[in-house]
Amino acid sequence: MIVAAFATEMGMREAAAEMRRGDCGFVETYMAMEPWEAEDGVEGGSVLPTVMLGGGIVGGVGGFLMQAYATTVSYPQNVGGRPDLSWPSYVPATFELAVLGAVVAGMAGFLLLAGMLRLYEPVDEADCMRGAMLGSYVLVVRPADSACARRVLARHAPIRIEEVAE
Amino acid sequence: MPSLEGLPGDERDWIGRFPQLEQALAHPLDRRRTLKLLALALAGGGLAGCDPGTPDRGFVSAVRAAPGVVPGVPNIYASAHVRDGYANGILVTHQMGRPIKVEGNPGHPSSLGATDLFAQAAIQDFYDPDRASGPLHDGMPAAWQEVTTALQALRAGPGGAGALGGAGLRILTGTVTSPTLGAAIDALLAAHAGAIWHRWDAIGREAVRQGTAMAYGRPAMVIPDLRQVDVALAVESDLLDSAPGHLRHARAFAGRRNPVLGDMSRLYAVEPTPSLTGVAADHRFIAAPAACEEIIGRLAAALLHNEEPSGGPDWLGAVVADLRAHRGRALIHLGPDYGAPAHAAVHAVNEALGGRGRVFDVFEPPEYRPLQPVSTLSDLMDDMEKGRVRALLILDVNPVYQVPRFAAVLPRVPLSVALADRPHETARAARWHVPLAHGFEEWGDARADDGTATILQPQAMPLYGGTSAATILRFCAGEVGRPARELVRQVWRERLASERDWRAALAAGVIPGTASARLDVAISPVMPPLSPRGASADLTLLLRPDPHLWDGREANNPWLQELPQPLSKGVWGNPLLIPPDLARSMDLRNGDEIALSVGARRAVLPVWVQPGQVSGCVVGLLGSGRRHAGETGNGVGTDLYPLRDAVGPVRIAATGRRVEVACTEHHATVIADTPSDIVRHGTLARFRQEPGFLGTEQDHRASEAALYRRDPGAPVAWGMSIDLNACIGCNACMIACQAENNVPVVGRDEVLRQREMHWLRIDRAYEGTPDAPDTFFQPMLCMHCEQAPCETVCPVGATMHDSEGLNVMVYNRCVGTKFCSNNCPYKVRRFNYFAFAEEERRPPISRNPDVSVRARGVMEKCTFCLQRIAQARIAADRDGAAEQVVTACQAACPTRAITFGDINDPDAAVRHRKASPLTYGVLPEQGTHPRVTYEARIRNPNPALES
Amino acid sequence: MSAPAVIAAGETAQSVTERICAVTLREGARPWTPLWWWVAFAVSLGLLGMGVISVAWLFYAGLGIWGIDWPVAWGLDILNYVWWIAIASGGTFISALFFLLGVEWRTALNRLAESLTLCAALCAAIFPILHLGRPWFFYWLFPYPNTMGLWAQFRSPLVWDFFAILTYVLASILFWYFGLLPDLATLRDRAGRPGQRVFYGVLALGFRGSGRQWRHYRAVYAVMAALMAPLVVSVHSIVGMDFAGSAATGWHSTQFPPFFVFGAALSGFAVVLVVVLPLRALLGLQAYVTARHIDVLGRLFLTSSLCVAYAYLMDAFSTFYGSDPAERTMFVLRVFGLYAPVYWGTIVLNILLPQLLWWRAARMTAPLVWLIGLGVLVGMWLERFQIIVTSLARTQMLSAWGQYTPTIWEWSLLFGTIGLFLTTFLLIVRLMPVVAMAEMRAMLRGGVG
Repeated sequence: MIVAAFATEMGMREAAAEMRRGDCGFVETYMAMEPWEAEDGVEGGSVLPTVMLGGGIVGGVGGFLMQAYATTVSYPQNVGGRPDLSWPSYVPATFELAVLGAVVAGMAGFLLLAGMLRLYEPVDEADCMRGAMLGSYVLVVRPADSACARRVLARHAPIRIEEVAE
Repeated sequence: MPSLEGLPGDERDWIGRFPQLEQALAHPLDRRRTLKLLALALAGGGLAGCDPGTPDRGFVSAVRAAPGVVPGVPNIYASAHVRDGYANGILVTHQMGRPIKVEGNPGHPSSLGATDLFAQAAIQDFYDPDRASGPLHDGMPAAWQEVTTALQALRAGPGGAGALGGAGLRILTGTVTSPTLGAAIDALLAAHAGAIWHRWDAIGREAVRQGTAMAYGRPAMVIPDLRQVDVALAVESDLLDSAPGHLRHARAFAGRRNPVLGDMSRLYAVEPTPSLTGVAADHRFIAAPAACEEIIGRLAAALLHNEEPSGGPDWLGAVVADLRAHRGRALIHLGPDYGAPAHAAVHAVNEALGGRGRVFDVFEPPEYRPLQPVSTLSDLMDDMEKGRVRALLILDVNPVYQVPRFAAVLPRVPLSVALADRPHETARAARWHVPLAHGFEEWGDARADDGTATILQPQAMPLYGGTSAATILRFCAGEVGRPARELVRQVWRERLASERDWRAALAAGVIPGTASARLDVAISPVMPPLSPRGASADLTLLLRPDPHLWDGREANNPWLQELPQPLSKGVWGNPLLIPPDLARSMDLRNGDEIALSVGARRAVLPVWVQPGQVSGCVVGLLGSGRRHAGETGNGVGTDLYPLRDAVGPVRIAATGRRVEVACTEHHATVIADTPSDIVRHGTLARFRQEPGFLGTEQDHRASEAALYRRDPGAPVAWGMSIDLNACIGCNACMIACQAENNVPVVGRDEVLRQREMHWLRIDRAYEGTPDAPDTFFQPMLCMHCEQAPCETVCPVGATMHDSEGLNVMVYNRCVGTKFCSNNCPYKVRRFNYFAFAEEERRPPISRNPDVSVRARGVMEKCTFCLQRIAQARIAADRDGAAEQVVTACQAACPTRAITFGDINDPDAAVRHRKASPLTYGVLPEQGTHPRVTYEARIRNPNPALES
Repeated sequence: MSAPAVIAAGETAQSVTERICAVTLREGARPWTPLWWWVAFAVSLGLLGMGVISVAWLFYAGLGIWGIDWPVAWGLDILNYVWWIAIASGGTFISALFFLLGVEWRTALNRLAESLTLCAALCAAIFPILHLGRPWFFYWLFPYPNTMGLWAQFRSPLVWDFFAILTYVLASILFWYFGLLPDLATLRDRAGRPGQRVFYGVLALGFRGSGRQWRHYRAVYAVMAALMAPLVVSVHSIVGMDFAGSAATGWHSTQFPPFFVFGAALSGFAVVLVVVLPLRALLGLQAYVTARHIDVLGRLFLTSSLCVAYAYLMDAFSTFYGSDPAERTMFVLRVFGLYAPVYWGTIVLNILLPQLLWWRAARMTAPLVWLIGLGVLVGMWLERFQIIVTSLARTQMLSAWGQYTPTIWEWSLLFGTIGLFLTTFLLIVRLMPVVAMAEMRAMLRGGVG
């Protein structure tokens, strides 16, 4: 794969966009801060908010049903003369469990979908990568068409280009 | 079961226990049947193992259960609790052969099924680890053999009497009503010519006896019947709390105090310091003892000589008019702290009021030699000082502690023998200490105030070894080796001739027909002149028995030490009670230490302000400051006995120090000027006009309008009604609850940290001014709220409702958040901050095995005696009868203030009580729907005295 | 507007990264860890050790070693819990709420504030366990399958509280850690020592700043922030309901949930000020935590103090507007009774003292602001004392009036938790980047913060 370091975010973005347009291969950018807008040719959104909503629903509904089940079916008790299904009392725990479900789902989903937990990747062999979180802009392309990639890079003048074995 | 008669004793016994056995025995034996019988025999062996194993195994179960009382416990044996000679009948509940609970004997005239707190606390006394474990000689342990040898010197007959000579022998006892002990004294006096018997009680009723004898010309016992009294005047009276027969009097009094249930009586009280009688009165007048005596003189003048009352307090005229208006239904009662002439005068006035035969009557006294001998303790001490006393037998009294002079002269007696249940002050000071068996360990007998005799049967094998007083006296009289049982039987041989009568008397707890005869004596026409006390210019010191430790004998009883005093709510100590005006003028607050001196004698103790105490009087409680009571009672409080016979002016001076006084009411005494909603009360006149005037109906309507009510579901619904008109604040229920429910004692330090554990407490409320407040008692226990605030906040469901409406506490589930206690509006939950039960000084076998002992870190509270409910349920299932449950507090209550039962049962007494227009729930605005309700207190003041 | 800048002039993405990394990694610095840190850490460990001894003795001897008693069954235990959990709120308010509002000054503060939340929440979380009579059974509050088929009692505010604390602690940890990931990656790549590389490398969980990671990161962070803001409000509402959900005089009040949220905000801002003011000097962060921050925090602080004042006012008003004489008696005793100094201390420290912050000059005087912050922390502690203790000591039943005097074991536990707080916080300050570098970079670029 080809790893290229750029001096500016713009340069990297333009190179990446061009490669994607030209189907040079699979392109990934690395930088030390959030991109200030979605990259061209990349789906901007994330499915994770939906996942978190799901987690929240599971937590909340599950929490409420657990409480309802515990107090009506599993072990009904006369507590303070309250009805078995004292649903208003279940609201706080339901809310908390919904939040917990969402947060845990978000974290887990992130670890899963964002390719986390890989402490080593072949791309780390490139020296440029050490600068990725320190302020340089790194573009990695797994070329389908190596010539295309090199052509584009040559045009955008990265500071440095390395080739790393996959 | 008639067929039992022909069988040998053992078999009859067995068939009595197992009715089917008779049928089995009647059949020819085959193999199967033999095996069955073998199995039964094995089981029987197990049962026999549980037998209490009393001497001779000769005591008899109360087979005739009292009506209204459901035993539901393995065994109940009748006996009596004796205080200062007078017996209150009790039934002792045994679990696995050990006594664990005392109840009143409904068949006994002085008990009527109730008990006082002393009888309830007898269990602790019985298991007291500090009781004597063996004889002492000069304070050092000795062998029984040595005691026998020493007592040889006292033996009458060959080699005995001669050695000593009868003239030097003295016997000192308290009041004796026991015929067996009386006969033993007689025998000893007969064997030793010239021996003298002295009677002395630290807290005595000698003045009452002498006054009565003065009035009627012979020893007599005047017994009032408060059921018949319409108007009564109580002058520093102890009629409701400690006079002989007080349980019966309290019951009778309370029977006339609830206007819904009948006509109300009216009670006036005059006293220097508040007593239970004074608090119960409709009018409480405050007067110093000298003024009280003067009032008696004026009453005598007015009612005997028909003079119009002149001078004296302004209320006297109205009271005299009221007494006169209720001729034949009026009574005056005078407490024991006044002289014989005053008592004689009161008897005369009562005769003049025409109540004889109805509101009171005169009986043969129950005491052994009621007025004889006249030789008092001071005579004895004079003789001791002069060396005339060669031998002294001290039977179950403690004069070394109570009379400083006695301690000084005792060493002059060459042979002094103290019979005592513990190595107390006298037992240690005497040459010999002979352990006395506890009343639960030996045979004996005693009379009630009305003369009815009870045979005390032992409840268990002696725990520590000890002997009975009668046995020792007989030994000294030359009759060696007479067991107490034999002595008792001998005394009652005539009346209880047959075994059947004997057993019946044991079972019933009373000997029928032994009540004293009514005396047909006329009142003496000549009244001795009253000897008015000189009204001292400055302070008066009144020394009164501690209501819980009595003369000090109960000092080692942790239940009684930790039982809050009825008014001050103090525990573990005896601060000097001072009147509010003295506190103001000397700038004293509760707990300030003072030096109290009478002449040259001096005591240093903290003060406690007692609202409603007469100006110029300070009250000290006797019975504290024991030196050798036992580990629990030693050094608790201050010994005030030395001040009793001191002469000289009374002075108090602040030392400038402060002492922490343990008390279970922690607020500075609050005097509410607005009527409290917690204790509702009103006057009879108002009640007649408008029965629902206490807002009870609004409460009811409000509770009907609740958002939701949940029916607990069971056909039975337990509830309780407490009649504030009946409650006199005697605290018997608290001890009963403590005994029944294994409620731990926490000790002084933990009470100071506000961690007392009583499941049931008696709240005391003051209204009005500190100088003359109205006082109210209110038993407070778990209300078993239908919508219990404690339950909803428990995070683990450790407290919840059962189907019968009980608020139950699951100790095993409790994690100890204490939120339930915080959320309890009545604050009736108690928390085990430490392992209180574990740290108690009592053997585990003394606990009620039906009630869990709670561990550290769990919450506990009143269960409505759940174990009794369970037993009643079992009994009901077995017998098919309705469940009848009597809670421990209810059973002990002398005034029947507590009614408990199934509120769904249309015939239940509790249901009728709850339908009373006086019924209200405490803190109705909390919406808790308590199952415990109160009947508001109605008072019947004299309209002529209403300002 | 002449408001000071949120960041010193001349700072760039590069300079931020270098300066913050230098604070954490201390490349080439001698000593490797500054002396002040060691001194502070030693003191903190001392306090923590005291707390450990206190807890050990508590477990051995039982709750009786505390001063709590029959009427006042909750004392410093619950008080400290409420106090700490309120302190914990500051981080979440600053980090989550102001993230949602798009406030850029938050960026320099959010890491420190979140760390404070974490440490304070930890301190808070131990009290609900320690206050139990049988603490070893604390897990019975958790709904878990057991052979007896028993459940927690879900109607109890304590169970709500249990879930709230559980959620809050877990969510705070995740939110804090999630926000740390890019900075951990930066440290990993910047670290010179192998040990540091491994340490931060593992903690960074393989974050490399790829486009895909940033895309998901931004989405998750935004939703988390959106959840944390209502979560902190709910947690303090539930803490309020611990009391309001009861029937006790002085507790049973519908205004408690918002009242507790106000109080939480006040003490949250206070603790941020109290910690950040010295820290910015010690760590040399003046370039990032500027006068502007102090100014803004001061204003927020004043605002929340006014909210709390409103709550106090409403407390008095509703007591006397209502019809419950017991409430009135209790209130009068609270203001004039045995514990009156506590009440007036609360008023002075929480309401009167912060009024100085109306003046800009006061807001700009760091020592004064620091003192006011400290005063409010004490004041909020006193406020909880009067809510918890005075209410229990003066109930409707005169016979159950009582007193409460904390024992040395309760004080030592309070100081022990301060030790725990400082120890954990000092470790975080030493080992983790104290400013969110990735966010600073984005902010300096002008992108979304």
